[in-house]
Amino acid sequence: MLRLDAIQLENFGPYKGRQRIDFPRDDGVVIIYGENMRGKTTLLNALRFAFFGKFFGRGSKAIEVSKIGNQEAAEAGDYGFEVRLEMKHDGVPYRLTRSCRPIIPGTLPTSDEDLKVDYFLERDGAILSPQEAGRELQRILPEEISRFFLFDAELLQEYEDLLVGDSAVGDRIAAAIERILGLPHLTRARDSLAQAKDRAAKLEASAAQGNQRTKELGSLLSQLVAAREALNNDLERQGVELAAIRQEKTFLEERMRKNERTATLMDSKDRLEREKANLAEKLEMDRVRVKDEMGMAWTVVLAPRIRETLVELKREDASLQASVTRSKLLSQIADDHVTHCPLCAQRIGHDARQHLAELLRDRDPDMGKSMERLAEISSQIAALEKHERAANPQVLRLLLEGLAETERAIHSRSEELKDLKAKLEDIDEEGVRQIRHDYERVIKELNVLEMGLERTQAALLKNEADRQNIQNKLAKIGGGGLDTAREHFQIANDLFDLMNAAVGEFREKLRVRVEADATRHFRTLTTEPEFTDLRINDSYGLTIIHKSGQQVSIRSAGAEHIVALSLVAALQNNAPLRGPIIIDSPFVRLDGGHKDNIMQALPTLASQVVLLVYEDEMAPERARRALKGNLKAEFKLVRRSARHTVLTAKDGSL
Amino acid sequence: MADTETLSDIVERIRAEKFPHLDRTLVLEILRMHADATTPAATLAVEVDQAIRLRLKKVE
Repeated sequence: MLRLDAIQLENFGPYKGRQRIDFPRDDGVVIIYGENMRGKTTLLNALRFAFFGKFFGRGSKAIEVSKIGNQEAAEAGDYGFEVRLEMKHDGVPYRLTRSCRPIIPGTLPTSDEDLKVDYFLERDGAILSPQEAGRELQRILPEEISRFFLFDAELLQEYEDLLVGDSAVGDRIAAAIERILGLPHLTRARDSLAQAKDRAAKLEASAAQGNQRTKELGSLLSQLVAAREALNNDLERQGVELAAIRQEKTFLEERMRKNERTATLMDSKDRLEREKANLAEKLEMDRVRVKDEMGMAWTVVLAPRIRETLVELKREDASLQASVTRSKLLSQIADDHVTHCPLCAQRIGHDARQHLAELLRDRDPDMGKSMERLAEISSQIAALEKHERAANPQVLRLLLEGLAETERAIHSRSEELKDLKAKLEDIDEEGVRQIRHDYERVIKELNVLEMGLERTQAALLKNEADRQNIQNKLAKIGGGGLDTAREHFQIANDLFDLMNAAVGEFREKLRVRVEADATRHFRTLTTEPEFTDLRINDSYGLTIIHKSGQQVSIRSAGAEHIVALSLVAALQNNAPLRGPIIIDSPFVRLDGGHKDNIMQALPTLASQVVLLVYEDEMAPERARRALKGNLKAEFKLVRRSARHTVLTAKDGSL
Repeated sequence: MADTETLSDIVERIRAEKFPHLDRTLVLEILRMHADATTPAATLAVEVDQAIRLRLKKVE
């Protein structure tokens, strides 16, 4: 159990000169009030700096140390800064001092290269060596789990990622959760025993190669051991690469989120440019059509005459067609083979046939002329009909209207484009395109890496099966050193299987415990009585459950904070590592009811809680009412100037 | 399964149920070795192999 006794700052951020807070010895809550820009987040960062040498800005971005020192002090020639923490871990007193000084004393540092950060740790009055101090700090408060002790609203929001698969932030938090719950103790043992198995197999292979009867099998085993070693190296490398690429993906997703508005504007610009180009193409084609139509426009003048001529020609055509048809029919009837009339079905007599033959003889010359005239008329009708169509002014009118419409559309797109270009004027469009391009690349690389990892894992499984097969054959032959090596392998193997089974059981048990404890805390924190439970997933993500048993799929930022605080409290309950909780402005998105509930629950989250708030976020009277005897001290950050804040007791007595 | 079961309780229960032939003290020794996250992997490798070898000698 870690407990803070005091923090002392020297020229750290707005804390000019040397300033100190002594925390009460009793369990309970300490509140530090400070308006915006007075240094609440800097105080949280002072603890981060002391423990891990880091200082975070907005969006969890690390800030250069050269920007941390007090500016008024620097102007007075006092460069550098220091944070000292006095604390107890399991009752043993520690003093941790981390300072940052110019490499050349008395000179103004302009970048991190001009500064040297150093720390020393005293345990029970004795200074520890750098190696020992590093190990001790890692034991007292590992950086990977610091998020459960030092956090703000922004960090609480990240817990939502635990509900999302394939999220680098979610993976990192899940790993941190397992870290604080003590699971890595078992996974370290399991992984180390996996390596012990491989070493034992190597010994077995050497022993087998030394015996004539088992030499061949020994060589095969040796090859498999070497292949396994290479595969394990591949797996490790792929794991590192996968973690790096997932981190890059998260980073790019974050940048894409920040550039979302710009990207939308750019998409609109691209779309409008495409539409404008298509319209310009259409305009060009329509202009060609109009030109063609205009070429025939003169026919409009002749349209009435064309129509009249067409009527006459069609009439003549019909008359000639009838005459030709009649002649063909008569000729058919006059034929000797036809005995009956095809129209009236009467028998055709000799006299009638004779009469028809004479008639046809007289008509024959007319028939030839009629056929020629019919062909002529048909061609004249076709030509005039073409001109009649071309002489239609409606077609040209529609075409000209379309042309104007297209020109208007192009103008409208041009105006929209002008507006968009003005909005995008000072924006690095190429940079935003590059982010998208990088994101697409990262997704491809991620897929390739994941497939590669799967292949390596499959190859390792096959290697294991092949090795087992050879080892079984060797066991049957046995003898001498081989038996000892074999037994060594068997013990390492059984120990590995034991730890592997324990990892699975312990993980499941932790999930059940965390779910139960988080639910218990959630019920006291939420103001919605119908939200009765939290359900945990494999990554420790928590879903709110309505009393009907249904999941609450959409939840507000406020609800997110309540769930995250419930998780942090549950982790504190179940962790072998416990310590103070320092929270910066957690109430920003919460209503009065939730604020009261959280204030009342704070003493149950950890034995020592330090709350950094501004008075509009949590009124002192409200806090005192909610906490009663659990409120152990109140401090205030008082402005001396924009770059100088003084830490005082709330009543001004410090 | 008691809810207060600790990490070492779980390991011991699984050992007793599924690996009774494994020496209880060896298992605890292995767990103890891995308690400190800062122990270098090379040191752990030597310690684990040695613990198993010692167990083999005891059996002999």
